[in-house]
Amino acid sequence: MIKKNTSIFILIVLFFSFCSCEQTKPDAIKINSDNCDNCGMTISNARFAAILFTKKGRTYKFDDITCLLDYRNDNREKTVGAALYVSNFLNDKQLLPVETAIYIKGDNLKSPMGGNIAAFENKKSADTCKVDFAAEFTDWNTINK
Amino acid sequence: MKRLIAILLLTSTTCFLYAKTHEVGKDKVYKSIKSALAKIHNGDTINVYEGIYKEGNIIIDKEVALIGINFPILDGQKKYEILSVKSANTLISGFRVQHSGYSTLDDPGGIKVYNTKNVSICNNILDDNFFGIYLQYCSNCIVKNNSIISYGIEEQKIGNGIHCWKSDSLQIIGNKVSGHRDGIYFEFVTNSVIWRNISDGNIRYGLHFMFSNNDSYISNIFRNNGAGVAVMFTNKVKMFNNIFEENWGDAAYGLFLKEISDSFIFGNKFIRNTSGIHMEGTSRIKVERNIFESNGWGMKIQASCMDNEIVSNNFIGNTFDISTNGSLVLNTFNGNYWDKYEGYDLDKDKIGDIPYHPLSLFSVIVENNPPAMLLFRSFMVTLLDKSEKIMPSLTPDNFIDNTPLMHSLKL
Repeated sequence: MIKKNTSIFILIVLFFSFCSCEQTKPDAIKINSDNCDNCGMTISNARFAAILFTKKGRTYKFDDITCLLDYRNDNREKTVGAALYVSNFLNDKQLLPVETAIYIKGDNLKSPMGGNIAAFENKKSADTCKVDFAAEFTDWNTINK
Repeated sequence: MKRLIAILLLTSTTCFLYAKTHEVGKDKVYKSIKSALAKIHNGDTINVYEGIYKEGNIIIDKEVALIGINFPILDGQKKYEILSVKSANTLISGFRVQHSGYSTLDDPGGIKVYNTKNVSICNNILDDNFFGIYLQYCSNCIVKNNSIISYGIEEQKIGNGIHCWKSDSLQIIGNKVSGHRDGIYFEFVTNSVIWRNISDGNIRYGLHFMFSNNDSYISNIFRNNGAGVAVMFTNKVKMFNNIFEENWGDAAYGLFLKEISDSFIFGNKFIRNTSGIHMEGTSRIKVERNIFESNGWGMKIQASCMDNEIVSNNFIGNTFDISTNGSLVLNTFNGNYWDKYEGYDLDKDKIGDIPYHPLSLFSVIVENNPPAMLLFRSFMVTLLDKSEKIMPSLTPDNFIDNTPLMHSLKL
């Protein structure tokens, strides 16, 4: 009886230890330490940062949404089914799925690689920044070419 | 008589043209810089005497020489951009500019110059500002002999020391920058020179070049910066006689080149860096008469580089002289001195009689499997390297210096 219990216990432990191998959410970006996986620059402005999270659970980090797209376009096979995220411009700890984020674009944003696109959670927060930076609205379909 | 009157008239009119000097200080005519600026005319001089001036944002919209005597302090109280220069033909010299505000919307600087020309910013001390000196849409400006320091506590709240954006014909001379994000930052800046600056201990890059063509940087020292110096997406850059040293870290380089073409790297010293030069996507670059000493990697040349010439350099005491990640070789090596060269010189022409293969087998293995570094200096690795030298199999056999020097060049 005891033996049976222990073996179940071991099984459970093993089950969970295998579970933890798979990463389910992307790693956070370490500012001024992580490098952009496309252009190699050290990421120093988290507000424009973007993340590509592959099906296998690997995180690729980028300093600008244009770098994310360049990398995705250059590595189509590797990135099939990957989830793409952008930082919320007003709260750079928060990652937004690229498909649902609201975007503005304008030269005054001065993003690290000249993509000059900022992402927001909702239209309301984008509106104020759009005025401040004299930017224009854009959307994921336009950006994602 | 007529002539006398004419002379008198002439001299009297020129009298009106003479610029005046105004004084600002505790016991002077003007008590604040703003009140003096409101009264003066173009071409006047303002001497500012010792004291602490907390005047918020001072906008300079007249052509003026603003001269500090014994370093008067302009304090932004962590709220304001301190000096905003919007007029041409202006000189700012001899101030201690400190505690600028912080905002990511308009990037306030200690001294920020807007859309103008012929502005000189000389001999100032900039202490604890978000951006130190910031130039945008400027031309023919001089930034000289300033000492710029910041203390990076909150990482994101640090701007660049000297930040130049969409400008032309700038001279950045003899400045000292430390503790900022990038020491000197160039984006869309053309026909400019960066000469004799010292950039050390900055959080990211000592010098950061992006989309800036036809510039040169000469005789600068870049030391102990987070990731060295980055020159990216640029062509026609001249890099002469600079020192790149003590840039250590997984992704730190003496000089990081990405997408550069038609440029010259002459007479520089790369000493004690993780990688002396890291090249990606560079073409038609001449690397001549440089010293690569005591680096982890002397040069890392990615397979995306082509038509680069590496000529007459000294490679001394590097763990690996050269490394690459592919088998394609489109770059040439000639007449370099390699301290690992073990050939002989029977005809005594000071050039080794057998070619040198700077790419060791192990450096190729490490490039593809970094953890293999654990085996470095083991017996097997040494054996592999030796056998590879005799019969190249994994390393590209045309990756060679046909005329390796027997003695180091005097550089």
